[in-house]
Amino acid sequence: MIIKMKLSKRALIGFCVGVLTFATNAANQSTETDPNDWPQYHRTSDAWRYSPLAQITSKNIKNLKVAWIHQPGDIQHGLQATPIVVDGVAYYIGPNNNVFALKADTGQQIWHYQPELDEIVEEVFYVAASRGVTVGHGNVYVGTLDGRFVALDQKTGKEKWSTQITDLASCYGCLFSSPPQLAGQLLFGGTTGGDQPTQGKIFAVNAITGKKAWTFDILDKDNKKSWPGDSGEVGGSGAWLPGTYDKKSDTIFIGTANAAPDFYGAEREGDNKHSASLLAINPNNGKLRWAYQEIPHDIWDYDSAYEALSIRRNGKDLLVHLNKSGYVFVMEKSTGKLETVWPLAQNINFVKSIDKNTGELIGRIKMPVGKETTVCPYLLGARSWNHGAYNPDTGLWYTNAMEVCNTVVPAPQEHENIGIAGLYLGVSKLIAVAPPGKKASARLDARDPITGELKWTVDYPLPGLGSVLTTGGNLVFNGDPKGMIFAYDAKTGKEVWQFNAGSGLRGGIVSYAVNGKQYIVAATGLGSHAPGFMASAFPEISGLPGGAALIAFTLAE
Amino acid sequence: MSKFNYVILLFLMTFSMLLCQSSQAVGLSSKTGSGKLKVATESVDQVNIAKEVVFNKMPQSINNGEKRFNQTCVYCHGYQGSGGKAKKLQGRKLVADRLFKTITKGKRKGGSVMPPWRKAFSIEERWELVTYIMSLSDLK
Repeated sequence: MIIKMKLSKRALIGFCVGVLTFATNAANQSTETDPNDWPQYHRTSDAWRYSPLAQITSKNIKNLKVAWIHQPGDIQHGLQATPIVVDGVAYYIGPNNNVFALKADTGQQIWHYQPELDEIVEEVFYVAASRGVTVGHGNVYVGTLDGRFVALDQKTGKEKWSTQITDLASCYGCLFSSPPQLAGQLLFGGTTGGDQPTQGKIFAVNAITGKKAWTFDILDKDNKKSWPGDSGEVGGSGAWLPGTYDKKSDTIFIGTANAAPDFYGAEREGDNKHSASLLAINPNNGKLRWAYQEIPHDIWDYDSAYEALSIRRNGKDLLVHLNKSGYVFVMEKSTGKLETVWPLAQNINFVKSIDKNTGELIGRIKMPVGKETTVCPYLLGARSWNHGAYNPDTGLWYTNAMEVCNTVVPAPQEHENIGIAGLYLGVSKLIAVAPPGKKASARLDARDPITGELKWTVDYPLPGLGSVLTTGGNLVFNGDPKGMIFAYDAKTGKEVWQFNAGSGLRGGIVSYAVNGKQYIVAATGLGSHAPGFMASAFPEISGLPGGAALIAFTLAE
Repeated sequence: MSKFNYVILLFLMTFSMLLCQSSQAVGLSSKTGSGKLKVATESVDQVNIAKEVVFNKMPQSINNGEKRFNQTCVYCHGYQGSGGKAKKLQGRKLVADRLFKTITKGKRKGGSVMPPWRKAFSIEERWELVTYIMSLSDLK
């Protein structure tokens, strides 16, 4: 009894500290978001991946211990999800679209949704993995591997509606590898498969009924200056990561993938709009409010699919957007007008520079057909898709980064003969290599998101492939492909905690509170195709074990 | 069992035996104009005849296989099969028929997945890949 009373007192103090910190720290955040929850993919629509909870700090983190583990039982392509936590219930998606609801304080399973997927999912390149679910309107939404949007009852996990959006037999790779997002009563999401001979699209349905609302064609294929001849018919692109919805301006922000064939641009001379672009879409009609193409006529596989970080600085609302090319584009949120550009990558040779005022790519590297060219960064980007995190207390953006190039021989490729799992890369040779004269390297950077100024950095032997978390407790959490999870002091970068999960991180780390107790939960278990391609630059990544386990941590009493 | 049922059963058994003899149902792909997949069956004879044809025109088969490998397989298996997530393909004594079967049917092992390629590539194209992969056995 005495112990219980002590626990309650501690929990109460922790809760009060958490709420107080939230009140002081999160002035920029939507006040609609409960500090105890992680209600959407990036927690808030500004894509900060910041939890205001402050019970766990650098002073007490030595007491951070495993609270519970949940295993989905299937490890194909690892665990790539970012869990969602609302009102003490955690929702996450495991391999092959298996969805789970758990009590977030104990890990006890409430329900398990086992989907019936079309057998075609076993034929595709982008198999098994999903990056999460979306919770809202009493539903849990899934974008499926067989091209559907599905709504599950939030309480029971039973299917409410299922809408077939794409046909994988005719549109290779046009599946949903990320959770569709909510824009009010609209549910929207884009196709995967930017490296295949397809036409990338963004779809929206009514979130309550599942009825189709609109389709946005990413490829402006009838514009022959942009897509000569029939090149737009198989121009690729897509929007394979979750977009964000800004309620204030009633705008969807979503990034698009590269044009295809990736490295062979001779048959698509033109800017290839709207590949490699950040789009602002009006959710009411699916029309563009604005579009900013970061890499016109991309011939290096530089998607613009990553998160659009929303920050207010000096009275301006800005979007901070990392492109795979290693450049960070900062834009005015309401117009898409370029504010500045800065390089995250240290080894860049695809251009000599990018004009900070106009965004023009200056001194583009030539990619002669049939000849070897070494291009930096490589096709996995200066960072993979795993997201960074922004902490309003420090004003810093924390992101993984890597320095790798690829040697490429561009070559024509007959798109008619590419199988459902085949890639339309337009190469006859492709290999990940270290930057010339250097070693391939990786790190976690803490930078000013607007200027790019580096505040601290931590070297990693292998590139971090999981998303970063930062908290009101002045902490940064990040994982590596071996399964090490690290916590750092957000201001200094000093390592304050580590844990060996046994298999690498490819999903998200989030934080939430139940009954006044703060938890950190990490999606662990390495998977995806990326480690395969990077192995020639980082041999140590080859053979690392796969896995899938959701691991929750909390302070020991 | 009634006499009628017995006759039906006998008929079904005979029919299925004949079917198994003529084709060991692995798929064969061809494409329609719309790019839709059309899958037919491929017989053991077809597979063996194609193997002989492909193996009789080395090094052209190896060259064709290399091109296809670099376009399709390199993402996971690394350049010249140097190993990605999967085990290195270099310096190994691989058996041609088993390689063909793996390429045809794919493989699922632990966290890794290799998709089946029977709908993507013809029998000849798969054997060409086999010849290229086997040519890597001298690399270390």
